[in-house]
Amino acid sequence: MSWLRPIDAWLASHILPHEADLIRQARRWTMEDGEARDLVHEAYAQLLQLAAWDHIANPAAYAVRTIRNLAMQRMRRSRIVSIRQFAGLEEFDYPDQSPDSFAVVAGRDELRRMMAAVESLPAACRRVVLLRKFEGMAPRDIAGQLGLSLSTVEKHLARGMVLLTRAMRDGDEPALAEAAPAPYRPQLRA
Amino acid sequence: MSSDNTREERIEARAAEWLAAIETGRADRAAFEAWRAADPAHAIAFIRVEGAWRRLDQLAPHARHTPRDDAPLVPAHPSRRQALVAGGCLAVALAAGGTVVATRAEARTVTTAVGERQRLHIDEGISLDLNTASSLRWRKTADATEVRLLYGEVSITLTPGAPRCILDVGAGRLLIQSGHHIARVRPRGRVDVVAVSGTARFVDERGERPAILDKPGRLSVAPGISRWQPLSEQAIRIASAWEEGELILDGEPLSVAVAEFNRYLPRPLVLGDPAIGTVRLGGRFLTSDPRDFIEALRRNFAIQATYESRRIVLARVEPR
Repeated sequence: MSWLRPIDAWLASHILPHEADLIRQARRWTMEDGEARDLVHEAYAQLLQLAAWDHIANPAAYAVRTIRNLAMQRMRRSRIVSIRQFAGLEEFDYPDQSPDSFAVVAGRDELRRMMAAVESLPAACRRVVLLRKFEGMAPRDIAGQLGLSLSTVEKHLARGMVLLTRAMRDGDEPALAEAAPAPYRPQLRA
Repeated sequence: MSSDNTREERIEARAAEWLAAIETGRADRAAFEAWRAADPAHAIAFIRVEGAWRRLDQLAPHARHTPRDDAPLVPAHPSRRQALVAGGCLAVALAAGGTVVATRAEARTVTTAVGERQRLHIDEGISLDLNTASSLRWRKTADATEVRLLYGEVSITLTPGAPRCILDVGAGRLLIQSGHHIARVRPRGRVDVVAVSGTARFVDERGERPAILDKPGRLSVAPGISRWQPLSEQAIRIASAWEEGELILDGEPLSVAVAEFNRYLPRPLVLGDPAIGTVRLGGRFLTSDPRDFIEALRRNFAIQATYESRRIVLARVEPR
């Protein structure tokens, strides 16, 4: 049973795999990295409000347009806008439509990273995560085997989930750092 | 930004609490829905945590296959084994738990000679089609069929409900969940996997560079590089034509076309003159019989074949 709504699953499978790309795009239109993340986050929130999400032919490109529109709104409100940001509005890269190419490139080292993340969990937490994920044991059985209450198992799981989510996101960071801000390109008149 | 981060982290921690409660069966659906609906940031955090948690499933197959379990299938290969051991702390931790049990089944080897093909129907909906000049070993374990492609090319088709199939191609492993996939061992450690349909996951021999194959396309993996290329219907037809006993050429240079044809020919074609290697030809040919191909070369490019006992030499007939 999944607690993800169809639109969540859609966002997870069609948009999030392009996140590094989307943030790179957003950087062209913002003053700094934090703002770029913010913008992407705001775009996700907008996408999650869509009624006809399943009619979008190229979700990644749609996300880029959403981010650009949000960036323009912000620029209109802002008093200082750099030339780079303006020039950036002319530049558009649509991410590759296939998330698979992402999976190949950005998924590099992912398994090793996940292993490292699991191994760096606090010991009690790691045990629970291993039994749950790799042994496929039910939380109730884990509680029985380790002599813990179910709610303690739940706490370890929650802790593990948070730490792993962060570890994997931090692992994605170097890929973003490589994608340096777009150089200024003065072909604005074109 | 820092205050935002803290807020984001707080929301994420809450999302994880929800997911953990769902896992233990103690979550109240209505309360969860109310929380999620309260703020899109909640929904996004939940998607992220759920996604990270699900990504961990990728590790499970590795944890279940410790180097020792692999021994019957994997010939001694120090670098590979060391890599597995180095990355295998988890597997060791699990083995210590005493729950890893490998069912040893006898591995069988199937080999085809040049020009041969062999189809194997392994029970429960897995069929293997071994192309010319290929060899594989396969065995059944408790929860999967394991296939190791030693060289050549194999097509694997899973019918719905079949147990998963693990294909080891030396430079990596393909975990096939459904559909139709073709793996081919290429020179210099490269492996091509064509996803015709269905879903599969790939990791290289060190358990790295995982890729999810769930659209038609080709994944090429070589030491240090991997590349995914979506394929058109036509390209998929070309890649799988051998299963119909055909070779489809789509304008490849003759040198490439001949090399491709030679995989199937006990008496190979040889370019008598390297200069003709750049001639490009398209068409459908039978892999078992090069005569149509030779005839097409004669008609289109005035290239003649000389049949020798062990080879067929192709050369241009000079107009006199």
